[in-house]
Amino acid sequence: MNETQIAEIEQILGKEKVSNSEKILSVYSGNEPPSLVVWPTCTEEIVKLVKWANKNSLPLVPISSSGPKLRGSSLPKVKNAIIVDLNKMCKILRIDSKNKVAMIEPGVTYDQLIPDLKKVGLRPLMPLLPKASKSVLASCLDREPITTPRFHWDTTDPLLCTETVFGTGDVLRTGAAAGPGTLEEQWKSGQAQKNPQGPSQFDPFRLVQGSQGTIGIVTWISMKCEKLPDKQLFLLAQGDDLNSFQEFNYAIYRRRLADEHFMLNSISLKGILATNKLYSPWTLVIGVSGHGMLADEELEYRVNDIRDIGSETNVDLQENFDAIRSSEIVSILNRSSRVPYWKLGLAGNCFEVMFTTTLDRVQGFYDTFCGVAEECDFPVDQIGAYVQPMNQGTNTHVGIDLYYHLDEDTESAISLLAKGQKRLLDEGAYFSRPYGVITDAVFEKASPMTVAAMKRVKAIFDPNNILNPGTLCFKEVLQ
Amino acid sequence: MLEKDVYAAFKKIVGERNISQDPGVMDSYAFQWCNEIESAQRGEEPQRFGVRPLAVVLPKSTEEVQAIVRLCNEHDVSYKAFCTGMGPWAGLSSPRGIQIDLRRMNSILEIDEKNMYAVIEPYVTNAQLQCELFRHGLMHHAQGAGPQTSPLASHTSFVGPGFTSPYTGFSGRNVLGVEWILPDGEILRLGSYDHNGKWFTGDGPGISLRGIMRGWLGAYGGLGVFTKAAIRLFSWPAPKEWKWKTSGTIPEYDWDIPPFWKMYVLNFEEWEEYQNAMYELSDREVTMVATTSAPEGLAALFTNTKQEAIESIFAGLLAKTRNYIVMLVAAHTEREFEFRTKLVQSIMEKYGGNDLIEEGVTVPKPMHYGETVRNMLGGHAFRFSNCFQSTHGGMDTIAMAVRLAQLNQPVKQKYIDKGVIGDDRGLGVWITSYESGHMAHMETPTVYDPTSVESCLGYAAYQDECNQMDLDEALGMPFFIVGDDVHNFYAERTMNYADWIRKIKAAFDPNGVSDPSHYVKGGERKK
Amino acid sequence: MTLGEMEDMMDSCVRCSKCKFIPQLVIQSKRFSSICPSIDYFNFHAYSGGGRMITASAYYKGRIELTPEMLNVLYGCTNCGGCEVSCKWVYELEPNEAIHELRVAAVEAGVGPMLKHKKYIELVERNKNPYGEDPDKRPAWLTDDITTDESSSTLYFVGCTASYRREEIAVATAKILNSAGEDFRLMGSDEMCCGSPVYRVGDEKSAIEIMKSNIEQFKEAGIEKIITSCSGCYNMLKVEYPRFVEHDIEVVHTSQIIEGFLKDGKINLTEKVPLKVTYHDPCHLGRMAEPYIPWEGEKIEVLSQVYIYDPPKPERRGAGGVYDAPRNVLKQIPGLELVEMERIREYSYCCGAGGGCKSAFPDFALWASNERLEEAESTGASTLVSACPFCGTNFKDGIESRNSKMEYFDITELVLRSIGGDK
Ligand SMILES: Cc1cc2nc3c(=O)[nH]c(=O)nc-3n(C[C@H](O)[C@H](O)[C@@H](O)COP(=O)(O)OP(=O)(O)OC[C@H]3O[C@@H](n4cnc5c(N)ncnc54)[C@H](O)[C@@H]3O)c2cc1C
Ligand code: SF4
Ligand code: SF4
Repeated sequence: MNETQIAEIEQILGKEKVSNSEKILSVYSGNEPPSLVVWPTCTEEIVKLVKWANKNSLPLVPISSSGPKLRGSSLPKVKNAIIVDLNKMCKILRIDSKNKVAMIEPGVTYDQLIPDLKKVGLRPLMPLLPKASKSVLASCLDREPITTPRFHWDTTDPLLCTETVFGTGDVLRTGAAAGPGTLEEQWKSGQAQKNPQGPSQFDPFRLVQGSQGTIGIVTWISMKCEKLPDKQLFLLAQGDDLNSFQEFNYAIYRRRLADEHFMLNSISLKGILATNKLYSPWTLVIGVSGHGMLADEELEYRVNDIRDIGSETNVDLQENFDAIRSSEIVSILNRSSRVPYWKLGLAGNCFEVMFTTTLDRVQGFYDTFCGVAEECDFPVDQIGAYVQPMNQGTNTHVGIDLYYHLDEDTESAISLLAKGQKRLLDEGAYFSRPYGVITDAVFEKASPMTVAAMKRVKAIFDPNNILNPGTLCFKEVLQ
Repeated sequence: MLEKDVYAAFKKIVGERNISQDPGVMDSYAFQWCNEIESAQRGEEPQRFGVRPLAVVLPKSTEEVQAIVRLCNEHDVSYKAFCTGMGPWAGLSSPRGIQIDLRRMNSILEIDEKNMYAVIEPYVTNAQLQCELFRHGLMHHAQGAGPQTSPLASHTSFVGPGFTSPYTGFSGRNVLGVEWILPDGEILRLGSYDHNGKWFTGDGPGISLRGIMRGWLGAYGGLGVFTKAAIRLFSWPAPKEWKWKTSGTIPEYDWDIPPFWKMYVLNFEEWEEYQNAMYELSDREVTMVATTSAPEGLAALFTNTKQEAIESIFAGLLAKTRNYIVMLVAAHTEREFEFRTKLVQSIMEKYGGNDLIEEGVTVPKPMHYGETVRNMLGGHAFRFSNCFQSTHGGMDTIAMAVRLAQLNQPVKQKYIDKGVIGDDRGLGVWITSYESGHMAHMETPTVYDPTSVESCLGYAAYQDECNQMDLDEALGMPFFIVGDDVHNFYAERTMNYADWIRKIKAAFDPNGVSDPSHYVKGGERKK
Repeated sequence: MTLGEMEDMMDSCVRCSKCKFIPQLVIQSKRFSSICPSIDYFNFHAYSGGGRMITASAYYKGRIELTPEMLNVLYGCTNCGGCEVSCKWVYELEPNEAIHELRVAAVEAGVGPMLKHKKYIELVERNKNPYGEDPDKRPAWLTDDITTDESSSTLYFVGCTASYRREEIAVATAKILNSAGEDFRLMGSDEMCCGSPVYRVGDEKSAIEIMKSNIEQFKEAGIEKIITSCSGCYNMLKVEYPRFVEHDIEVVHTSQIIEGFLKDGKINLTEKVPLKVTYHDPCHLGRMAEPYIPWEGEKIEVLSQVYIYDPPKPERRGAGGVYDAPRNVLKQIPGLELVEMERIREYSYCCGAGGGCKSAFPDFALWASNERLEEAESTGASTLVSACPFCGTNFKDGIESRNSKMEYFDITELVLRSIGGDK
């Protein structure tokens, strides 16, 4: 980047929001170091920046979260990138308890949002123990699974409306937020940006979500929240094999009786609770709640029906086991991780593997992966696993973590990451959110038409390939 | 007429029996309910016959559809596919066009009982799918258009509110894997289906191409043809032994109500109380149905003939009915049932409501429970005059739906006073909540006489005024803001969204042959 | 009603396709959800009740001509009335009536009916039956052990099909009547076709001639009551005749008269008939058999755009068909187990033979009977029973074509067995 270009950007944003100091750049460095970091504070600035980037053919990499990057999606893959750090846009714009919705900017974190929601009796739909600096907006844009599948109606939840600056520099409020009318006018008419679909005959939010910053830069989102429970009870179960919970889980999905519902293997549990205890290979977590009028009775009916299903399906549900108490589980929910991020606690480092499948296939995939770990000489007791039902049980997120020590098992971790994911891919694991080394293989497996269609979409919203180039299947500059 | 060789080429694909160009046969496709309104809105003589296709083909497989679409691209012939083909949006706008009637593609390909999805072909109807799902203790989200319409059409291509929306959501949000013939004849498979042949999600890898597929309203057949779709399923709250059983003779059928079911019509004096109750009932997940209509509408819901409906009006139903919510508590267990009914009672009392069923103002018979879950109640509105259409349609919050209802009343009353639309005192609405109250929509079903020019024009003017009102008062985008003209009318105050849709259309339909009626035209046609 | 008088009604079709299915509430399976054999077989919308109504309107408006393909549309329909039952669940429309009127209009225009129809109409006019059989051989089925009473005012109107093709039904009927002590007479070789095949294809003029001459003949013979073993004849005499020719002759179907005999103890079902049977409701005995009551009155706007009829218009929704009599009879036969198909009563699926289809569209008729047979087989029954020789003929053809193990009997045959009359 030349001086004139930097000066032009400073002109757009103001000097204090631009930096090219080595030290700062190094924090954001990926395959390639960025050439500049900017901290815009409003949509107008971003629009100007994007237009400028188009004119100058310089790539922009938007990022919202700070801190350790396990997936590397927001690390530049090409030279000369400008990091658009949205951290300074960190206002909670609106909370509407009646309509169970919050509107937030990119820099808002869970720890910031949760207390504000709590004041009006709400809680966010959120992932399990995200890192403290994780942007709520980024998490939603990333289709990060939430711990409460009952409230997960569509893959996109809890993301609702957005304001997006596309790669063309055009701004669109997606979903019902598009209008008619300004946001103020919409609020006056009783709206709360709850319908994520549209406007009209397309769903731009589905294109922005999962795009890893390649379609548009999102300046705010509205997100689904739920009422805070007045009564809550957690039930746990232990098993050697995920399949021992299968019948129970499927029955519970149908009935939508539980809020929290997920499974952890012993390694992940250890990491999360930062203990050295011995846990059963798998722990199933079921959170039940009651709220508002008749909260007690609600809790009671839900718990009793769940217990009945437990006994019908031979799952021993307890509030506490010797090794694990439900209060410990409660302590890790609805909050973000301690610092440093819990995934780094076990061995100092972590690689993440994640894919989508159906519950009935999870144990098989897990076994496959552990098998490859043995081939790669990676210690199986450093493999964490988190199984999160989504879409009210129609599909399941599987998160496998490789906790590794620098030097000691870096090599085997790298080798397992590549081989294990490849094996999973070959056996039909669906990498719906492809990151890192597996990405190319995922798009090779996709039919050419899928890739072509995605590129056509990309060519509409980011014709000059300004946004986060080299990501997903968007390797080259189109037309 | 199509050129002889072109017609012959189509015939070769589907076989002699499955193609026609007879004008009479074509007219049975050109004729659509509500064409009279659209023609009136264009300033033409209101009539139901729209554009007559040059041919109709009846493909049996994805391959045949693909071959047809390719041929259309080759010979610059527009096409539009449909399942049932009910409504003007199923028809063509281009005079050089053919219709792809998907009637012969009608298999249920898979029911994944555990993972709760079904894979269906276009012309499986809601009622047919339901029958097969009940055997697995499952149900699907059926759009309110009726049990004879296609869930694939609704999920892939067209809007999607239904009577069980609080419990089963909205069609557009329940789509998983999809097989889609793009306008140029390429096959696109969405999500996991493309990846490993399993249908459990339609999103990714990375971005979700569902984003261009339909949006909120659907592309109305303007962006290719959907040949298979997986849709999410939901638990059917009845014991395993329970069977869909009817007896009796039309119109008095009997139906076995599952054990833990109870219907309510909760009535609230003021909109404010209604609104609060609607929020709480939806949020608390006590009801499978939360539907509001006019008092006149209530008269039609739980009766079997027009005569009966009118009699119940004269028996004083209107005077006792204000803002009401038709609810169906449908529980899986006795415990669930007891909790839910108790909570309903508490919420009713909290907001000062009364139950019109309890008070005998309206009395659903067992068969009406059946009609409710078979999604037949919307059809009852036709009993008054053989015809209605809806205005408005904004979808966001319950509060907005209520505000829309309030603001609509005086506008509608004006047209009622003119005698051009049915008299529901301006109260006729359909409000339902979705996804446990996270969303709601309001539309205004309005009775008119399709055989009277005056009534058609009157209804059309009313709809125009509603559209203007929604625009001016920021009341959400009405359902029928589709097609280039209305898009243009709305676009300026909605961030010119339509330009994006046009770009999508141009990128995916380079020859402009997927008929753009009720969608958008993309770029210019090549030829 | 002429097409002109029906125009508003035809234009009110919502094109909703409900008329392609049995009433939606009674659908129990995907497989047996449809009601219209015509749309099932031909698939174009024009081949449904609603579709035909649209083409009728288009024709009336001068938009289309009756091309050879339109004739297929018009006549590839069994006129079974199923569409109308389903449509009327919601709407005040009469697609089946519109189909009939279009047929009438087609004949008036000199285009209809189809060649095969014209041929059999000629035969009816010449030989008194559409099969072209010798009229003198009409009573050839009559056996010595059957007693008739030519002075009786009760006529057993045998009908063409039972006379020439399903003689066993005629025999069974006559023997049952004998056994119950019910006096009856026959018209013998003077019996003329009831006119059904002529009327159904829209040749209303010829049909009315037949009706008139038949009624005249009945009156001359002092007939007060007619028994028919054929649903088609029953429908004509009971429902269609009064629309054109006044008469006060009581018309009963064999199933009804047998039900009466049983009630009055005039016959005893003593012999076991150990069969698992399922019963097919013939359209013309079922939904089409509702008496036609002419209505005169006013259309009153009770609410804006909402009209009611004063006095209330008699509704013809198929509820008043003869459904229970045959079932009540079958249930009383010892050893016999009756199981129901999914599509029964007013939403029964047509056998496929009616409306002139058996002659003009034999493949279609055979296909439709196969559809119905598959449903019958799915009940687990070994035997299909109905109460119409014309349905019976088509089912027998169907059974043969699909090599089905199923047997077909007319209800009279089983009753005859049970009273021991077949020995
Ligand atoms: C009385 C009435 C009430 C209605 N109520 C509702 C309601 O409550 N909720 C609701 O959502 N809608 C409603 N509708 C609107 C609409 O007609 C239906 O929702 C529609 O989906 C019905 O299904 P269908 O099989 O008739 O669709 P079709 O008429 O076959 O198709 C609807 C649209 O989708 C397109 N399409 C269909 N299948 C395909 C395919 N395979 N590939 C590409 N495009 C396709 C068609 O071209 C057409 O534009 C109503 C309509 C009427 C007439
Ligand atoms: S005839 Fe009746 S049921 Fe058939 S499409 Fe028309 S309105 Fe619907
Ligand atoms: S009369 Fe029978 S065959 Fe003819 S259209 Fe109606 S349902 Fe179909």
